[in-house]
Order: sequence, then structure tokens, then C-alpha cells
Amino acid sequence: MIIFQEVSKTFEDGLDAVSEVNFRIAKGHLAVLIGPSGSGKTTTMKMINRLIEPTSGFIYIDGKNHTKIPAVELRRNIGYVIQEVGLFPHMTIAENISLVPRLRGENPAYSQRRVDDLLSMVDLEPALYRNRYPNQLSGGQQQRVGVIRALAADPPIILMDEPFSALDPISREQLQDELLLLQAKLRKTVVFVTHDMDEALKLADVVVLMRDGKVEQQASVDDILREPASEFVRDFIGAERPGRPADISLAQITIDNPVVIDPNRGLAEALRVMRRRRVDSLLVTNTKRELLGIVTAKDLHRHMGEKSTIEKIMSKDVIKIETDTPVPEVLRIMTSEQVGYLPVVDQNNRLQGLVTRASLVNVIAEEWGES
Amino acid sequence: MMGLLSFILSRRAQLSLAIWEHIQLSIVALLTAVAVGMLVGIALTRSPKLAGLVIGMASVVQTIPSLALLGFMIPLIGIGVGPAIVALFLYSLLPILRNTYTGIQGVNDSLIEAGIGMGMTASQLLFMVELPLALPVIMAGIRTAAVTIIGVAALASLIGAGGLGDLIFGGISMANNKLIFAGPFLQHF
Repeated sequence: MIIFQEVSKTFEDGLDAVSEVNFRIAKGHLAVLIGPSGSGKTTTMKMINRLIEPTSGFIYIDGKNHTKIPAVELRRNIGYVIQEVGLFPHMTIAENISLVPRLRGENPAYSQRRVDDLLSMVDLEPALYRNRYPNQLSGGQQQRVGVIRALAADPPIILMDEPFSALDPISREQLQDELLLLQAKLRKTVVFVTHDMDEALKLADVVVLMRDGKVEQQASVDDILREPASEFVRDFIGAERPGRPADISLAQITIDNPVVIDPNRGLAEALRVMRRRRVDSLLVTNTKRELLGIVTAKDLHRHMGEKSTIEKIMSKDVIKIETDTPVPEVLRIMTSEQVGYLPVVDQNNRLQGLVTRASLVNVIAEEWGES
Repeated sequence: MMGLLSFILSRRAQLSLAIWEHIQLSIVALLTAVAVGMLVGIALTRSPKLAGLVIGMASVVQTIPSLALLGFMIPLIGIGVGPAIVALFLYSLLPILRNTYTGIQGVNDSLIEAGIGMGMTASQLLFMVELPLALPVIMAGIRTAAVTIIGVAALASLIGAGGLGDLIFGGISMANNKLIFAGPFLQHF
């Protein structure tokens, strides 16, 4: 757990790089610090391993005020990956990876085994790469080594300063995927600085969006997309991320309060609700909001003469989607099943909302209109 | 050419003494310059403000003609081997000092940051990163210094420090071409 409490940094030239920043990063989370250049995100990150000392405020690492820990010891317990990779050109790959364990005076034999394990973790054949020098590796391979070098001493915290932004798009994607795999396995507390919103959305458990040295919003990826805290956040997400159907969340296209009716109601009442709410079908839910079926105006007209309840005439096999269905999948279902609407339910079949063709078109038009 | 060689062989004893003196002068001066130059060069990287001043001063010494520098030694510390070594040392200090300083300054900032960020102490950073990476530049400075010293050491003869300069100046004053050639010829070994 990393806690920033009223942390400020004013440089000697009077620049207020970071002012009164508060946030916390839970253990095992991957937090992305994002913002335009000059927003203070890198300064904020470098204060964690004391490459930059805060002017005021406190940073706690696992409950300890981090200025009370000697800087060298602190840094040996925090992995550090930088954009320029920073592999030492006069050391072999193995020597680079085992550097922090060696600085800590650990058993060299142990380090050697650890080096091979780490190389295998990122698909670099140890026998082939162990004794090579950094300049014999491609950019992507070098940064893979950069990442595992940070993991070598098994630190609980890893800092990554725009680690993938100098790579070509294909290597970048690969390294992001590998990082996610490693993170799923190792559950480190990762602080990842980037200016690339797509990268942030792909990797982050939590996003800390910064602007002019202040935290503009700290939220999960989903929340920051759904409820941007300010116009700036909305712009930043929009400007950095041209609208594509895949970027539209299901929540965006879902109508939260679809018109529903209880299964025990009569047909006449159902018809009245339809007229009043101007819809041609009603979702049938019980008191627990569980979705039982659907009833359309056509069904009602066909059975109008009978004295019946909704429960008896509703159609029970409703095509529905769950809240975590990806939007492209939603589009596919709508097209292939020839339906105009899809109820959204959670794992317990409780109704969460409704996606209609109209709601979909509105959101897409809005997204594309912006970009 | 054959004449020169037989001359060298006939004066073996005198020549080998001159060579030995020459080597002594050069090596002592060079080793001192390497030790002092590197130490000061490293110290200067820790306070770049001072670096301009110190390197400037060393440059001024370098602009003094070598003959004059040797001459300055006579009123200051007299004649002989000691003063000659001091002059040679001063003369070779600049390339070593400057190359040590610029070599370390030239180490990629991101590598320094990586080293510090990984938890290296200042001396670990120096010996594991800065010096190994600056080594080619430092070695180039030492090579320049060595070449300069061996050349200038011939002039040390003028303040009574011996060496191959004795042959050269002896040859000049006696109009003995073989002696003049023997000095520089042997100097190249």
C-alpha cells in the first residue's frame, strides 16, 4: 500500500511540479499515473523511490513514512523500469538482471537460477540470452530484460516510467500483454506512468489522472470512462482515444430504467403502461428484479379478450446479455438475432438495464461526432 | 642507416643509461598524473561548478611552451630529476583530468538514473557504472598524456634530468648527426 498525503514538490527554480497530492494505491494493484506532459506524473512517481524528495507532505509505504527508510535500502526494495530501458551496456544480460540481488549481497548461485527463471518468464531462452550484451538484443527484448531486472530481487513495489512508449506498436502490445500476465501471477503493487490513454485503459486497476501537479481524478478504468470527474478528464479521454465501438462501454449504451411490469398484473394494465410510457414491449420482473420474460403489444392484442395475467402470456425465452458482455458482441447478437433490444442482467439474472438500437445509435453518433 | 645502428651498438652503455633515465622520468610523471588526474577528474564530476575553473587552470599550464615550463622549474624548485618530473606531471595532467571528467559526464544520464534507482551507493555507481563506461575516454586521455610526456621528457635534459635528450643536445652542440638521430630514434621504442 502506497499512500500520498498532501505531497507537494517545488523545484529549486520555483516550479510547482506537484501540489498537495493525495491518493492511495492498494497492495497488488496496478495504478496508472496519467496526464499530459508537465502534469507532474513522473515527478510524483520519482518521489516514491526518493529520486526526488518531496518539499512537503508524507508518503507512506506499507504504513512506514518513506523518508525514514534510508534511500538506498528503499530503492533496493522497489523495482524500477525506465523508458530508456537503462540496461548497462558493459554488463551481460545475466549481470544486468542479477544486479540488485548482487548489490544486496545475495548468494550468486541463487541469483543465477533466478536469472534463468526470469528470462524464461518473458520467453527469452536463458542459454541463448544469458551471456549476451544488451546491444545484441532488439528494443522489445531489451525492455523485457528491463522489466525482469526490476523483478529480480522480488520487490513488493515496481515503478515503471513510460516503459513501453519508445517501442514500436507491435512490441508495445506484446509487452503490455506480458506485463498483464506477469501481474496476474505476481500481484505486485505497480505504479505505471504513461501519457497513452489506451495503455492506461488496458493495464490499469486504477487510474490516477493528473493535471498541473494535481490529481484530477482517481478511479477505476470503468468509472473514469463512465463518470469523468471534469470536463478536462472527458477531453483527455476523448482526445487521447478516438471513439471506436470497442471503446464504448456497455454501461454507456444501457438505459438504466427500462419499463418493467410485475408478472401478476392484468393485460389491460400492461396496455395502459405501454401507452403511457410510449413503448411497445415490457420486461417482466418480479419483486427481486429477476427477469422472467417479455411481453409485447402484439401479445397483448392477441390475448386481449381473455381474463389473464402477464405471467401466462409472456414469452419466457428472452435473448439477454450480461453486464460484462463486450460491446462488439452486443452488436453481433443484435444483428444475428434480429432483435431491437437486449435486456442486460447480472450473474443472478437481475435486470440491470436495457440496450436498444436507439440507445446504441445515439452513443455511437455522439462518440464519432466528437472525434 | 647501418652507420646509425653500428653507432648505437658502439655506444650501448651510454645509450641504455639514457633510455633508462628517460623511461624513469616518463613513467613516474605519467603514473602520478594518472593518479592525481583521475582523482581530481572524479572529484570535479561531483561539483561541476568547480570543474570549469580547475580544467581552465590545467589548460593554462598546457599552453605554456614545454621548454618554458621546464625553465620555470629552475628558479622555483631547482634542477635535476625531481623538478623535471614535476614539469612533466603538470604537462600531462590536463588530458587525463579533462578526459576523466568529460568521460564520466558523458555517461548516459538514464544509466545513472537506473543505477541510483536500483539502489546503488555513490561508490557502487562510480565503480560499477561511471568508471567502466568512461574507461575508453579516460584511456584516450592517458595515451595522449603518455605520448606528450615521452616527447617532452627529451627536453628535461636541459634542466639536468638526463634521458635521451642528453644525446640530442650533445649531438647538436657537437654537430654529431648520428648522436642527434640516435636520441629520437630510440625514443620511439
